[in-house]
Amino acid sequence: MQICVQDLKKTFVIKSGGLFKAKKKTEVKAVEGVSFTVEKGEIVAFIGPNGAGKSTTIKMLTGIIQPSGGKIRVAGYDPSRNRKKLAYKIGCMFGQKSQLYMHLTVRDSYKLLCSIYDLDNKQAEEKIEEIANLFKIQDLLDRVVRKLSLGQRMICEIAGSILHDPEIIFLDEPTIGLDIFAKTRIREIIKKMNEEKGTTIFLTSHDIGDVEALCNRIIIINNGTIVTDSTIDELKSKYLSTKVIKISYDRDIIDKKLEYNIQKLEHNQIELIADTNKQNIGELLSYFTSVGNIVDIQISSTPLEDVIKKIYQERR
Amino acid sequence: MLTEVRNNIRYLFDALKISIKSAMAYKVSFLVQTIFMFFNNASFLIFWLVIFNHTGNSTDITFNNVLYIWSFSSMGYGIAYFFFGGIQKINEYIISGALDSYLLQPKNVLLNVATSKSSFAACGDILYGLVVAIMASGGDISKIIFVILLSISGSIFFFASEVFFRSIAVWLGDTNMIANRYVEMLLITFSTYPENIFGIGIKVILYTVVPVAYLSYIPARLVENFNIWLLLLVILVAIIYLAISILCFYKALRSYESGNSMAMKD
Repeated sequence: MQICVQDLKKTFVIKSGGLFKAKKKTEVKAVEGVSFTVEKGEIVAFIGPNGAGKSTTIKMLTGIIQPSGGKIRVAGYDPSRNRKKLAYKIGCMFGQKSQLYMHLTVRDSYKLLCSIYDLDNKQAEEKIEEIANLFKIQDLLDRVVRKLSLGQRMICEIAGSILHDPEIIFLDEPTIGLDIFAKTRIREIIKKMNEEKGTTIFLTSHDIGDVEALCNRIIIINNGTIVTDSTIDELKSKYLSTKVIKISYDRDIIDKKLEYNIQKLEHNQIELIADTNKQNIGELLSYFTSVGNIVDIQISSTPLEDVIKKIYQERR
Repeated sequence: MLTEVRNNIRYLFDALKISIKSAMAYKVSFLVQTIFMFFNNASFLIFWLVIFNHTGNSTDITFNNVLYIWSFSSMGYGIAYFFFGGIQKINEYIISGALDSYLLQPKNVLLNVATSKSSFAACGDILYGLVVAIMASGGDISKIIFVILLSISGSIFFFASEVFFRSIAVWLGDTNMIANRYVEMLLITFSTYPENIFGIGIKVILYTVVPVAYLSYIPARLVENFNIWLLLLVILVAIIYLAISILCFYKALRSYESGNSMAMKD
């Protein structure tokens, strides 16, 4: 087991009041009794709306902030007691924060990162070359960080976070603000790291595309508590039973009286939102064919994004 | 254990090399700031020269004494900010959440932050302190080396003050102004005027809460009249101030709450 979290809690104290007023202390529970485990080699999406407690949880898992209660083991260490030892085992990439030096070249930034992880000069040079080849960023190594595009910088950030061969990588919004090409590239790289090095990936993202493309498991947090912890397939079968069926006929059906709460879109087009758990698709199709000659039929699932939005709203 | 110490020393040199390289990315700015700081400091000495030309040396205050206290003050300041310029960023990192990057690395957080930046202008202070030490000692190598070594202990007071006042930002919010005022108006100002011009009340402060005496007055006395007990006292007080500031920093770290603002190392 690479990550084990039991009844994790974090409470922030907010002080309010003016210069001449007594300070009022308010407790804000950012994380309330979160528990989960992550096995080696898993790619887990840890998602939730803004202010749900994602970043606070990741910061406790990586030793940045101290929990108010509960137990954490990451790569065998307690982050609040063994921060330095844990740092050798984990890699972190926070989309909003950089570990590279903006006035220096990527190579110089990497050299310092290698030094931080106790690699000597020879080992550092070999590692930088290896990572540059893996990420195909040889041409970026001697460029000054501030002159890189956002996409190039993000790729260099991820590359920088694995120079010390971490067992677990925490990625917080790795594709934030990127175009579709850069996003695809970063997703490929993350997948490759997981497949080739067996690295465990713990990812947060508001981009459901990242989750669908990369993760086999999803943990949804809202208001500081876990609301869903399941595989993507389980989530789909549970929530994606709703199908949108659109049918076009060869002639006008405007005058026909329809059953099953069907919506008429055009004179010759209808739409039905069907729940496969409650309605028999075969029966429905038989009924549609009885209405007229079908020229086109589209059956689509609710997008995962809508499912997650629904989960967020349900637990609000 | 030995390997860990060796790795840490190597990292400190690498970090220093990188932060200087980062500062040198703007070579012209680096040179201009160094030169300006040198002449800025020199202008104060010209005033003292004019005063002494009018009044001559008194039994309490000599021009040489003024040169030495300037040398200790400048060099102490220069060493602290050139090698550990990141100390001026502690409060900013605490407020913006930029301390996260340093907490994720397997190194001592304070040293990591301190060596993350190098102040351009501080190079001018070191150079100026050295030139003034040469002038005051008449080129006596042993005295110059003594001044350099005692300036290192002097730099600890600047380091400790910055660390202390910027760490308390965790509880007080932005302490930038407090730290700047303490260092600029108290440490720097008082350490460049001879102690004999002050009354007993101010002297008590300068030997306690604003440790200017151990930063420039006593070291200036030690160059002319060496006394091992006074030297040990200076070192002991420096260690106490440093220890208090480090304890404060780590206490603050326990209360650090991070943040989510965009941040980039520079």
